[in-house]
Amino acid sequence: MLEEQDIRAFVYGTTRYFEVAAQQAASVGSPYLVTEGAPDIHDYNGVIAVSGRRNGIVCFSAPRGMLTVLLMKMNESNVSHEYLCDLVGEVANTIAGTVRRDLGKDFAISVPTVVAGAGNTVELPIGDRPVVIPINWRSHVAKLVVCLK
Amino acid sequence: MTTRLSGRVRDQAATVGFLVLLVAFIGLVLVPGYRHADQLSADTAALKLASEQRGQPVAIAKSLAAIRDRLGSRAFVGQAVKDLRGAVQAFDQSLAQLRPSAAGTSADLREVERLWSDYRKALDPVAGFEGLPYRDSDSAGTQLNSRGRQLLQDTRQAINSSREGTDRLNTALSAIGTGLEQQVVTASATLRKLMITGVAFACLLVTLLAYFQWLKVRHERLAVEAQNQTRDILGTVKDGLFLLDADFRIGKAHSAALSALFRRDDFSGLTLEELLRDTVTEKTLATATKYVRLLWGERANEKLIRSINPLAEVEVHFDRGDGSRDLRYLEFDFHRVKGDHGVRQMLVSVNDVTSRVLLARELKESQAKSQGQMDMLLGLLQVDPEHLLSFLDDTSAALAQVNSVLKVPARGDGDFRTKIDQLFREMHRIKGDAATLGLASVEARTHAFEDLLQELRDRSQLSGNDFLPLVVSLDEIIGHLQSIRELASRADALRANAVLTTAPRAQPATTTIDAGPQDIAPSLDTLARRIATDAGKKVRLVTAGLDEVHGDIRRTVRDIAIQLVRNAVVHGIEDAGTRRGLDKDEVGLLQIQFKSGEQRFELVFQDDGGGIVPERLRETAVRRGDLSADAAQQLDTKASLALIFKPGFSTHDGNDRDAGRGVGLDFVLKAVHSIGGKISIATAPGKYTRFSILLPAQSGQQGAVA
Repeated sequence: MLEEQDIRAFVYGTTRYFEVAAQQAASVGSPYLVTEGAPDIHDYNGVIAVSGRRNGIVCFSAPRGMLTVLLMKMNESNVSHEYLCDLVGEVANTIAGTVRRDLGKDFAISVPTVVAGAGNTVELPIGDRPVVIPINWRSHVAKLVVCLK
Repeated sequence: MTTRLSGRVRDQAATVGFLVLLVAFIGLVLVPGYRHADQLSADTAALKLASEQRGQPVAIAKSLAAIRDRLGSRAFVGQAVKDLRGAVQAFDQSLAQLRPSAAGTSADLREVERLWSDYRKALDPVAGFEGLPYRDSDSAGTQLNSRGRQLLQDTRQAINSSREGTDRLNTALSAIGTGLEQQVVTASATLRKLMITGVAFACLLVTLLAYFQWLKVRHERLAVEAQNQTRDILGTVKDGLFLLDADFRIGKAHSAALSALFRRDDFSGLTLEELLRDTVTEKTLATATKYVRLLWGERANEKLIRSINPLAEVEVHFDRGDGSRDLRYLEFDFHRVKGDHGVRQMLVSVNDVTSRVLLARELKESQAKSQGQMDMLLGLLQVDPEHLLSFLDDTSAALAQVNSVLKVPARGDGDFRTKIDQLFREMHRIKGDAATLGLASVEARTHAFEDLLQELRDRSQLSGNDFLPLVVSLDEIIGHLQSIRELASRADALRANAVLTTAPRAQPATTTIDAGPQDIAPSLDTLARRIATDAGKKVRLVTAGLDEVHGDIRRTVRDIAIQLVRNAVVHGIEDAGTRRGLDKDEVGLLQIQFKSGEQRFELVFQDDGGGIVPERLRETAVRRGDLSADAAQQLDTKASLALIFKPGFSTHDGNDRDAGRGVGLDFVLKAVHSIGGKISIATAPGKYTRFSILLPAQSGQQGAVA
């Protein structure tokens, strides 16, 4: 069963990244459930495995455009695939770090792995309904997929 | 323990005995033996000296005689005097050597010294003579001179003394020799005894040494055996075993199973904190560290502390190396190893109890679930299966719609408020359906969802974060419906079984099932009675024509009727006491009439309650901030009545599961409009309220065809 507090911690970690790294706040869109199949994800995904009081996967999924602008906002002119992968991994790592700080006593959070490229899927625990939280930043929308049980 | 202790005491006693024997051997044998040997050596030397001195008095007497004779013959006396002097000096030296010997304290030596002293007085003038004793003359030849004469006289006196002194000296010297001989014999005997004793001691010591050597070899062999056994135990035991020292560091020895449990091999010197770090949460780590420190306390009650062991079932996670983590449950047990000076070490045993924990958890969940399911199953058995199946399908679709509403992208406050109204309507419909079927668990969950919506509606600013509780609640409702669906299948199986076993008498049950979803009236009656009971009221529902509702509008008619029933019982019908005071039947009357026409259908819903008071509606609108007081005064009766369809508008104080959120009539209006219908209200304060709903027949006919 989902717990609001846990999801909120991951959402906070995500928005916090934009506030600090991009110096421009992101807003949270209307969250929803994925009731059938796998969630639609973008090209670049930073995935962290969570264990402890709850177990599962949290994935920060962002479109190429958002990451490109984010890199440029950070004064990085190199927007190659590798840099985008690094960036999405860094976002996931920051989320993990924030959650570890806030809920570290209850959670063990893995080092992020990056899943990139069209057609890729993120393996989610079977039988759970992931929550997708849209993250609006400028004109772009990323997704935070939280699948914990 | 006792055996080990007695063995240690025995070894200590043997060591002490050995040392005592060694000291005794040195003190009683070696030291006295050395002294006796030394004394024997001195006595032997003295005896030899005394023996040698026995000839000296005779030699002196001979020298004196030679001097006398040579003086008589006027021969040279120098050599004889010199011999005498040498003999006297030799005797002096011998006496000096005898004084420190064993004979030094004897009376015989003192007698010899006294005799010699007297004898010496007579000898000294002779022995000390220097010069010539003669004078030569042609006339008389060689004659004694005066000194010669004196020498001769002294010599004769000395010879006279020697006649008596020599024998007495010899006698005394013999006595000394005899005494010394006896001492030597005694010392020799003593020394012999000491040597025998020494040999005995030596044999004893050698025996003891041999015993100690045997003990040492035996201990070494036992130690090696124990070491091998320990190694075999540690290599075979399935528990993870290790020792912690006072610094919480793991000792060198540990069981082989520990490596498999912790997926590492470097344990020696590792602290417990280092061992657990990265595998447990920080909270668990901190608790574990505090707990182990507590165990080291001397005053700590081990049984009590072990009963609160926070590591009795600890969740650990191991990195698989691919980003994922493996969850295990380990059981730690601590045993204090005490020594003479308190707790020396801590024996820690670790077991992998993952299977047990998961099984217990599964069992517990299963039991809880079974209990809940059993209660629910009993409830579901009371529900018409067709109605239930229809409800589940409809509700699943409605929840999918709720999720779709949530999924629509939203950024601004307005977007989110629009969602709230939509969500309210969907959820309210589900709640109404659940209420008609008596599914209290679903009704309660949807009501809780509505509570969340109401809370959001009251906020001044909305964002997606505020919607997180809705998603969590939706997830819970979906999960609950899945459980109901599974139970419904089981309930069907139970019913089928019951029908088979009572086949000859099963006709009534079959009839009930065949009643089907068309039979709206009974469920509405149940709902009305339930709400009335909750509100402390009494109602009676009279329906007409509902069995003629067909096709696509059946769903809409039922939804509308549900909301109108709820609305009427909560807002319209007075409680029994009030009704009696108004000369009304204490049982409120609800009437639903459905009429089919060629062009349209008409659904009329009427209650004989207190009616709608427009003024009260206007007051509510002003209080809610929907209208200013002036604007409210401008509203006519029709516009005032229209307020009841406004989303969120309610005159009910507070909210409960049946009213108070202003959703029901909003839902009715939207439902009627959604199929192109119209709704009108007629009311008389204190008498009645009537909703007349006109629905286009086309959709109904299509539904009927379909």
